[in-house]
Amino acid sequence: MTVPLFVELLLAGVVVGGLYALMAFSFSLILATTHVLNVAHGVFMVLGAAGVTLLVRHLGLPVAMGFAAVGVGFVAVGALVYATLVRPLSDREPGEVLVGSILVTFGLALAAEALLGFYWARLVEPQPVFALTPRVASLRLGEVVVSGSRAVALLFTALAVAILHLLLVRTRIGKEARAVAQNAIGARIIGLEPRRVAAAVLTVGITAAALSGAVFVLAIPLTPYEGLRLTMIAFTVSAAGGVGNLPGALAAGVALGVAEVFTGYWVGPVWSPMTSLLVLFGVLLLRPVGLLGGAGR
Amino acid sequence: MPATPPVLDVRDLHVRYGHFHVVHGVSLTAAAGEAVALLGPNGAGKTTTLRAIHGLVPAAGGTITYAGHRLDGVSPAVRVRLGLGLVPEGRELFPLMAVEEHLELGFVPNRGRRLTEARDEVYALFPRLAERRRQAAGSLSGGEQQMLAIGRALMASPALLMLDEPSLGLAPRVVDQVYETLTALNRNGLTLVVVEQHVHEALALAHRAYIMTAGQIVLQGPAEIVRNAPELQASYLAV
Repeated sequence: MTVPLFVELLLAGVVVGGLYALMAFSFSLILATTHVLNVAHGVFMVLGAAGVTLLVRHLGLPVAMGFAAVGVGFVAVGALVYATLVRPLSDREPGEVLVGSILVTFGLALAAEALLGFYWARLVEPQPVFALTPRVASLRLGEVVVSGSRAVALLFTALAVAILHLLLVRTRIGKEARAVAQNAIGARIIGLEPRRVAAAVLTVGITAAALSGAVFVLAIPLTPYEGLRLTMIAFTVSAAGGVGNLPGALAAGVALGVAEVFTGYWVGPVWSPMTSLLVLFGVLLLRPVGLLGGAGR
Repeated sequence: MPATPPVLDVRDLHVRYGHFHVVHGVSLTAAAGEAVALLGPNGAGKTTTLRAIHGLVPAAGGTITYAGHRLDGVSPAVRVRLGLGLVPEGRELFPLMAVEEHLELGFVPNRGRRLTEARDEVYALFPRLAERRRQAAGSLSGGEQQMLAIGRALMASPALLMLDEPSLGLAPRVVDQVYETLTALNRNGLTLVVVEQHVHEALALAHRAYIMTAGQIVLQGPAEIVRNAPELQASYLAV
């Protein structure tokens, strides 16, 4: 393997892995603060990809406007999911919320996938593929050529991670979310409102998932039925990086993305999805608490 | 003490956890500025009583009135805004968050106080916390964690502070420090309800005391009388 090819594959892995990390971190933050295990998280990623594809490729909106519209739209979707599916569970014990949320979001995931696949095939194109191919100039660094859309994806991921970090560390609601994740009882005792935190975390988390999907298709196309596979990745990255742990999610996500890309190159693309399952089994066997441990960092 | 109506008035409180009837008709009061001790053996229901007063567990019967407000079905968040504070057993801090973040999160703009004012007062009370302001709570010593738990509760400017075993797991010297601070706070007008195993310290602080056994109040009275009451010995030996 030549050096430029190696660098290109590595970079592709980092792009994919960064987006996995973003999606997985928002998944694990929801889990840590609300005990909602959002099985539909990967489906929201696919829906974000579908939304941006529809707006940009089929309706001709500029790419930036497409992203903005997906962002705004999924803030509304996140708030709606909280109000209709999560808030009714909020007075239950954590264990009941966990089990209830798995059932409810699994149903939501299946329904959303089926509707998306069916109606996209009927109304938009018979073979649904979500992808963006904007014309962005490539960057040439010596012998290494970096595709422009990949660079844009990387930039977006870095920006989104920085924004999430600042939200958690600098804002009142972010601090409240970390407090609830670290000690829910302590948070109630000092008068924090778990519902307010849950509403904010679900809205931000689902928006982050949808946007990571929208950016994902700049690099790799998605199809309607990949949502549950992506949720499994969120699971793997959370288990490996620690629930509610942003640096851990980044490390685990990027490692997984790079591993997938190289598996695809050396062994064959069919085997890429297997990588995350092997990593998950490995992590659960070796370090069941997560590589970097801890919640709500 | 007094003709003034009590700030906290608990009447015939019952609490159940599933099939377990933990608190059987407890009645207790605290007047403004009073320090009240709630004593008794492990498993008597003292912690549960405090948790019910703070709204963390629902009352299965009876009434809780605070400063004229009936608290039935009121969330802990609203109780904190009304001026109730709880320093819970085990402190319940946020292990990865800094001392200063705890104080910010505990802040409630009660009685027109600003965050910086409230924070400076806590730091004046516990200079150790000021030294450790950037440190994560999980890395503090037991005594410092207890100071932080008290400081976090004081950030809401409570009028009534309940403390559950504030001396648990602390060295004797640190216990003395904590009780000195509580005495000073009480002199400044803060009403206290203290649940404690260290009977001696609690009775030195308290004006009045209640002894609780098996979910019921078995004795109440001025601290100096309770100190010598046979029921006090009996309640601890009963376990």
